[in-house]
Amino acid sequence: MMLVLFGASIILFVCLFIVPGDPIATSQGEGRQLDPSTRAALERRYNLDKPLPQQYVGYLGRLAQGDLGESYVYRRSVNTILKEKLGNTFRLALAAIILEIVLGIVAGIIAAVFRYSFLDVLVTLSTTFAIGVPTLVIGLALQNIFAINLGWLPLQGQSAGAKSIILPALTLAGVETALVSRLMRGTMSEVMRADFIRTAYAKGLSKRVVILKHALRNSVIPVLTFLGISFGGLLGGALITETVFNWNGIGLALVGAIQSQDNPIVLGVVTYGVAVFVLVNLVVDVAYAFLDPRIRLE
Amino acid sequence: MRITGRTTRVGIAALCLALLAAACGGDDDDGAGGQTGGQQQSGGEAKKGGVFRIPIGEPSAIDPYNARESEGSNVTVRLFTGLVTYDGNNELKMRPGVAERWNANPDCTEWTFNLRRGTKFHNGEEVDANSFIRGWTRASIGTAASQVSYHLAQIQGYGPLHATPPTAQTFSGLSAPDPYTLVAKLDAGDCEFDKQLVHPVASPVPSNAGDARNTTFNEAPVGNGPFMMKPGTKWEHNQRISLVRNDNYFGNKPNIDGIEFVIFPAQGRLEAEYRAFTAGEVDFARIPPTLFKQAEGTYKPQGSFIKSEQPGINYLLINNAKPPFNNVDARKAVSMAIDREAINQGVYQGSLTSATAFITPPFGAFHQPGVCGDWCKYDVNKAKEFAQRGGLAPGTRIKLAYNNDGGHEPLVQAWKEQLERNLGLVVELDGVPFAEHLQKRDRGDFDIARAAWSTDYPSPDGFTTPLLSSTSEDNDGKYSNPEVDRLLKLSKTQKSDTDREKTIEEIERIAIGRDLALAPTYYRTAYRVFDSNKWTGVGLDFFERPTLETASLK
Repeated sequence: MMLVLFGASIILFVCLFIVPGDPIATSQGEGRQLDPSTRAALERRYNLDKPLPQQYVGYLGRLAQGDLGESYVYRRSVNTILKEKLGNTFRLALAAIILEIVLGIVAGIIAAVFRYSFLDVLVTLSTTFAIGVPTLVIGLALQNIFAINLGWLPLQGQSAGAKSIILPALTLAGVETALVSRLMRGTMSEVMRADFIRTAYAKGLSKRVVILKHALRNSVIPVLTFLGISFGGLLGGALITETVFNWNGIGLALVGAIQSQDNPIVLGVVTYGVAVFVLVNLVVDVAYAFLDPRIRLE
Repeated sequence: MRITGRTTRVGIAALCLALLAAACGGDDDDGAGGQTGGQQQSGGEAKKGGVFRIPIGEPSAIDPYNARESEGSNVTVRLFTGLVTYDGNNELKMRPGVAERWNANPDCTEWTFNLRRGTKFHNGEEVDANSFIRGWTRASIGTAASQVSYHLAQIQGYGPLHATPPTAQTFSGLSAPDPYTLVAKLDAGDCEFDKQLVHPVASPVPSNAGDARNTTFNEAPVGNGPFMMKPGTKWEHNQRISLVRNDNYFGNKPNIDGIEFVIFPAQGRLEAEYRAFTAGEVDFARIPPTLFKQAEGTYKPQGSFIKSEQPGINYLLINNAKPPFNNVDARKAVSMAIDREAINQGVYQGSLTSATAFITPPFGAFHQPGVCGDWCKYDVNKAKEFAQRGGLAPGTRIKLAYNNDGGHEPLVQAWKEQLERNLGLVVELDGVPFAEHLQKRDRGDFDIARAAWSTDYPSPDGFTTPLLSSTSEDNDGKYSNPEVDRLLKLSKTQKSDTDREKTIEEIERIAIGRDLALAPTYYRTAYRVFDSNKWTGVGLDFFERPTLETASLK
């Protein structure tokens, strides 16, 4: 895990400095050329006057102490900037994952149990739609319907309390929910045809117990892996959804930072994203062992 | 105007290019940079109350030491009032701010400002000459690395103070013989020095401002302006900044109770602002270029549509330093070969005003319509004639540079098509992101380029010196004419407005009318919408900011 983080950070660091453009000049914005004295002051402040390997070592040193540096554009600590936004990203990710779990798994179960019925077709069609339509379009469409035309929900931002999170969470969860339900449907259908399920029915267990206890438990494992990866990704920041809804999360910060070549923020967000992703996958692997005794025994 | 998304010239000008225009015969004609939709009421009769909600992008700074783009400055100027103010008058004369009166010595090397007594910061501390010295020093010292302190660079002692590391801790040229008198000595005479001081960097600061890295002050500046930070709040990053009226303001007190700056992300900001306006979540908005006609159709009949001429110019930057455009006839050929009006109608839905001069209408008496003469008129035959004379043969390859993140593709495509069709040139489009584009221009890696310029103080010198002086770093076209340089220097020493006017007119006649150093294309016009059902007295000032000091509830 440490190796992954280390490798990722080197690649990222080098990439940022290969990209053409001058972060200091970009922070100046358009127009006036930066005078040499101010440029010298800024280069000194951000160690940009040192050779790249030395900059990288300095960066690692600060990273070890948990210091992500200072934003070139805003001149505030990256830690402070990201901390403000992390909570928002986390809340959105949580809301989305709950939607994914509840809607996705339930839809998947229904589709599997009532295979080839009208309900199954309904699920298949709606998931195809959700997967096919880009997140951006879903977000804008929801905004147009519910915020502008009906006025039931706020257009953007987080100031309206619980109502603010509904549209962004739906948008963010859209594609993944569809994928979860299809996956669930697939694995469950397979499991439902297994011998031990027939045995369970033969034993006289009710349909509800068979499905929810025996079938579900066995078919949920691949779905869990998927959900784990999904959650890891969500925690890394949802760029499109956060931008459409002006949701003050780290995805929004990343997009802005890339455009303005605010490298410390880019580095900070991506490093964090990699770390979280790796961590969450570790957790999923562990959870796997609990759910499937066969893995534990290996 | 120094904007940086902010008060940055080119970037915002790029976005607003499509908002540029002054269609002839618009019923909302305005004077130099100011225009109101709806009835304007004087302070006494206007209704008091209300909070005006206005969308902005996240500022890079609102602290006056480094507020540099329009987003940040929009907030800073509500919180601070400097020595002088500008009300948009045609004579480009500065009006009293904290300074009641001021004057310069005969060669304009020494300026004396007499301050009003008894004006206060929002925390009750009195504003005096030292408050200004403190603010200017705080911004200019090298360790602050301010990107806007150059407005104060003419004051003696700026160099050592601004160096890295600083070799002085104060301006040698600033002094306060008494608490209400500020004396500024300049390195060289500048009879328009007072105009530079309208920039927020020249604000006074209270004694608790600390240095530029004092984050408390960065997040919640304490100023002396018509509005102050809402007590108990600070800048809520990416969400909002809340201001309330300063009831102890020494000048004209605003009618509104407060301002709420609603912060939108940079991506798709114009669309998001406009959508928020249509949904009633903000009272004011910019207009995305693609929705211009729709906005005009919907909001103009209601009186909610603002059209305002601004001190900015869009132009074709031409590389004077190397062939083929080191030849004046070649430059003229290219300018006559592009059809400004056709592009205006086809690409910008008629929202622009084609330029016939370099110094634009908001500069009042300094504007000389038609000084560009034939060179700004579309004439294919004449263009061919001049191309031949100037050695611009068909088949010549030229590079047209532009920034590809400003929505200029239709414009540069049209130029390419017209130049290839009319002059037989081979035009290579070179579009890169903005910062890289500026560097290419700086290196001279272009033949022609899309460019725009604005000024942030009320003087045509904000155009002429940066773009026409041979020693200016912003003169990417590398136009160099000793006569123009001499006249530019002369204009700075002319105390009389009439004399200066004559000099500037002469400069424009030479640099544009005769030499066509650059080819003006469109004047800058800004369009906005505001909720005229609720508000009145809302327009745009010279600096393209909403006139919140005169706004009031209907």
